[in-house]
Amino acid sequence: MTIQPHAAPLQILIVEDDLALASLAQTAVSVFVGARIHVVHTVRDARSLLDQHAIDLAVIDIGLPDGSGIDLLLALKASSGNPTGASPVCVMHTVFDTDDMLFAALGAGADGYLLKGESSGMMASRLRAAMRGEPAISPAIARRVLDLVRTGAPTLARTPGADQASSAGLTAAELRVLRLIAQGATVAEVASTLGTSVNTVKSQVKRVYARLDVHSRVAAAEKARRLGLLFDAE
Amino acid sequence: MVLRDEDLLEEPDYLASWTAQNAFFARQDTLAIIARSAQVRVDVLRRGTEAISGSVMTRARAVAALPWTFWLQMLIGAVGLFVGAWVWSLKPEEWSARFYALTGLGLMLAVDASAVYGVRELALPAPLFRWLSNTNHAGGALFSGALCALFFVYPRALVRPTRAALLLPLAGAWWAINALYLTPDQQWSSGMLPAALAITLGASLWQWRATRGDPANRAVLRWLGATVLTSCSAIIALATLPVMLTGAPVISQGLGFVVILPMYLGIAVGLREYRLFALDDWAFRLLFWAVAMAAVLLLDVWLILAIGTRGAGAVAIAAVLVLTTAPVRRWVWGRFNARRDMQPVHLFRDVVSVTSASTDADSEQRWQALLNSWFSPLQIAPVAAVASDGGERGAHLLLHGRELSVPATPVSNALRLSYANGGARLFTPHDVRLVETACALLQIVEESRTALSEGMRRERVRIARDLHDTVSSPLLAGLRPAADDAIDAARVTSMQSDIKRAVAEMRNVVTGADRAGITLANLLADLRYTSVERLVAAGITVQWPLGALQHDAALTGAQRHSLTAFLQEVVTNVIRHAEATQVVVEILHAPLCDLVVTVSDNGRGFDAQQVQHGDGLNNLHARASELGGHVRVQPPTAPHRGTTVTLTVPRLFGAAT
Repeated sequence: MTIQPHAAPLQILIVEDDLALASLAQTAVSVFVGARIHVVHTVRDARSLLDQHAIDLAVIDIGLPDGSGIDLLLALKASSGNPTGASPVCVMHTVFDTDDMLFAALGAGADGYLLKGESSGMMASRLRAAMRGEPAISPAIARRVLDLVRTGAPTLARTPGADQASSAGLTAAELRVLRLIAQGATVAEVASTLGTSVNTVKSQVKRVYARLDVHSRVAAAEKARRLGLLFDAE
Repeated sequence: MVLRDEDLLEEPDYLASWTAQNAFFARQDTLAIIARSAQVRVDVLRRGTEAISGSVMTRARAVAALPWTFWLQMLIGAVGLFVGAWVWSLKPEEWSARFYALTGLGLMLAVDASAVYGVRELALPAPLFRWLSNTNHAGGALFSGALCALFFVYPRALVRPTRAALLLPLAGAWWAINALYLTPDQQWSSGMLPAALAITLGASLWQWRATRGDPANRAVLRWLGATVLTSCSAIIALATLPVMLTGAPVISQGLGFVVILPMYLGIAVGLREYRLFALDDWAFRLLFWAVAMAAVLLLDVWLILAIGTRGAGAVAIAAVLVLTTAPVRRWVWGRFNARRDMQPVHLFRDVVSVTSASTDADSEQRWQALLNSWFSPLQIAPVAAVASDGGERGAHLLLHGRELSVPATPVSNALRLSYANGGARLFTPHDVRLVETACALLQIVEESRTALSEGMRRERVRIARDLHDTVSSPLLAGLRPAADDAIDAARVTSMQSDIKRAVAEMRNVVTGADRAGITLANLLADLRYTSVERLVAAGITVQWPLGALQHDAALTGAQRHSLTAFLQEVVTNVIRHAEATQVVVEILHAPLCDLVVTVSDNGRGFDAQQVQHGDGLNNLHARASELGGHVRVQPPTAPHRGTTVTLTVPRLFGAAT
C-alpha cells in the first residue's frame, strides 16, 4: 500500500489549523515513503513556506483562520517552482463532499478532496488517486452539478457551440458521464459502459469542473466571510 | 298635378299591392315628363295662408349634388363586388368562393340600382324606374340564392356543389315570376330574403350536425352563423319587418344596406379561415353584443311607447337606458366568462402542488395531469427539441389551433397537446395565455423552492460543521499515540478503536445533515459508489447493476442513517472476513412492495456457531430493526459458496411522499 519514492523526495505541505486533524493527515500522507512533510496552521505560514520550497502535494483545509483556502490554492497553482515544472497537486481537506466551498475549489483547479476524520485508509487511497490525476467526484457532487445545470444557474460558464438542449454549456457526453456517476457508477464503470477509456472520462470530469465559473469562487469566498469563518488576509 | 307623400317614396317595394305600384309608376312617369320641361309652375298651399305661386327653371342635376347616401350605396356595392372577386380569385376552383363571388355580384346590382332610384329628387320615367326596380330584385334574388348555396357547401359540402347551384335558377325563376307580375302582390318578392335566410338557417343546422368532431369547421360555422344571424336580424328588424307591418321602414334603405356590409365581410373572414382559433371567441362576443343591444333597444322602444314622449325626451331615455344597463351587461358578461377564466388562487395552488411532489417523475406526472384537467386533449406528447418550431420560446398554437405547444419547464420537457376537449374545440389564445402564466408561475415557484431548500441545506451544513469541529476534535485527540508507556497498551488500543468508531458514527451523522431529505435512489447511488470503490480497492469484483430503481421514495434522516450503516457494515465484513473475490448486490423495490437488498459473496462463509464475529452480526440485526425490517444471513450451502445477506424492509418506504 506504499508508493515508491520519487527520484527526489516528495515535498508535501499540510495546511490545517486543527492539530488533531493535521496529525491525522500526516499519518495518511506518510503513505508516501520518504517524503518531506511540512505542517503549517495558517495561510501566512503556508505562503512563506511556498517561497522557500517547491511543493509537489498540498493538503489544504478549506476553512483557515487567517484567509481562504481557495486563495492559497490559487497561489499554489500559479507557482511552478518544483523540479518537474508542474504545479503542485492540491487536495482540499473538507467536512462534506458537497460543500459549496469545495465546489468552488474544484472549479478553481483543486485536484481532489479528503474528508475530515475518515479512515486513514480512505484518505490514503484518495491521495493516491489525486496524485495519479484522477478527478475527485462522487454521486452527490455529480447530482449537484446536474442540479445547477437543470436550474440554469449562472455559475456554469457558457461555451460557444454547446448543445442548447443540454443547456448551460455542458456537452451531451459530459452530461451522460455525470448522470452515470449520479447513479453510483465508478469512473471505471462509466468508461466501460460508454465504451471509452478511463482517461477520457477523467478529462471529461475535469472539463466540467473547469467550467465552474470564476463567479462561483468569488461568491463562495464572500459566503465564507459572511459566515464568520475567515478574516480578510493581510 | 297634386303631389302626394308617396311620390317621394324611396323604395317602390314598400307599396304592397300591384295596383298601388302601378299607380305609383304612372304618377312617376307623369311627373317625370313634367319635370323635363324647361319651366314648371309650382303652387305651394299652406293652411291658413295664401297660396304662393311661381315658376322654376329646371336643370339637370349635377353629379356633385348627389347626396351622400348615393355615394355610400355605390361604395357598398363596390366593396361587395371587390371582396367577392378577391375571395374568388384566391380559390377559383372552390365552389364556396364561386357562390360567394355571386353574392357579391348580387349585392352590387341590388344596391347600385336602388341607389339610383332611391336618391331621385322627385321622379324617374316609369320604364327606367321599372327596369331599375327589376334589377334591384334580380340582385336580391342572386344574393339570396347564392347565399343559400354557399351554406350548403361551406364549411362542409352537404350536397354536391352542382346540385346546390340549382338554387340559383330557382331564385331566378322566383324573380321572373315576380317581374311578370304573376304573384298576387309585392309581399311575395319582399319575402325572398327572409325565405333565403330561413333556408340558410336550416342549412346551418345541417352543417352543425355534419361538423361534429371537426373543431376547425365547427369554429368557422359558429362564426358564420353568428355574423349572418346578427346582420340579418338587424336588417329584418330595421327594414323588412316594419315595412310588412306598418308600411314604412324605420330607417332609409340606403342605411339599411350598411348593415349588410359587416355580415358580408364577416363571411369573407370565415371563408379565408382567418385566425380560426379566435373565431369562436369573436362569434361569442358578437352574439352577446347583439343580444345585449337588441334587449336595450326593445326596452327603449317599450319605454318610449309607454311614456309617449318624442324627440329629445326619447333620446334622453335611450341614453339613460344605455348607461344604466352597462353594469348589468358587465355582470352578465363576467358570469359568462367566469367559467373559463382561471381564478389566480386556484392556478397558484395547482402549480404549487405540481412542484411539491417528492420526486421529479411525480412532478412531471402532476404537470401532465394538470394540463389534462384543463384541456382534456386527445393526446399529450413530449417533444424532443424546441428548435423545430422555428425558435418560438413561449407557448403557441399550431395548425390553426388544433395543437398547443407547451414549453419546457423546470419539471418537464416541452409537450405538445392535440385536439382540445377530445376534439370538440380548438385551442385559443386564451389557452395560450393560461399555459404561459402557469409556466411562469412554475418557474418562480421552483426557483423559490430551490432557494429555500438551498438555504436550509446551508444552514444544516453550518450547524453540522460546527458540531463536527467542537465534538470530533476532542475525540480525535484521543487518537494521538500515547506518550507515556506506563499506560496499559491494551486499554489504549481499545480506547482508540472506540474513538475511531465514534468518529465514524459522527461522520455519518454529519454527512446525514448534508444529505437530509435524500431519496432512496440517490442514497443507493452514494452507497454504491463508495462500496464499489472500497471493494475494488480490496481486489474484489462487484456486480451491482446500474440503473434506475423501480420505485423511488423519500427517506427520513433516521432511515438514511440506518440503511447507510447497514450497507457499510456488510461491505466491511466482506472485505475483512470473507476472503471473497466477487460480490453480487441486488436491490428490489417495486411500488407497494418491500425493499429487498441482497448481498452475496463467494468467500469462505462463516460458521453459524461463530456469533462472536465482533458485534458485526448484532449490528446488522439492530440496523434492520431500526428500519422496521429484518435481516437474514445465510451461511454457504457448500464451502466457498459464500454468504448471502438479505435485508427486507416492509412498505415503510412506499408510504413516504
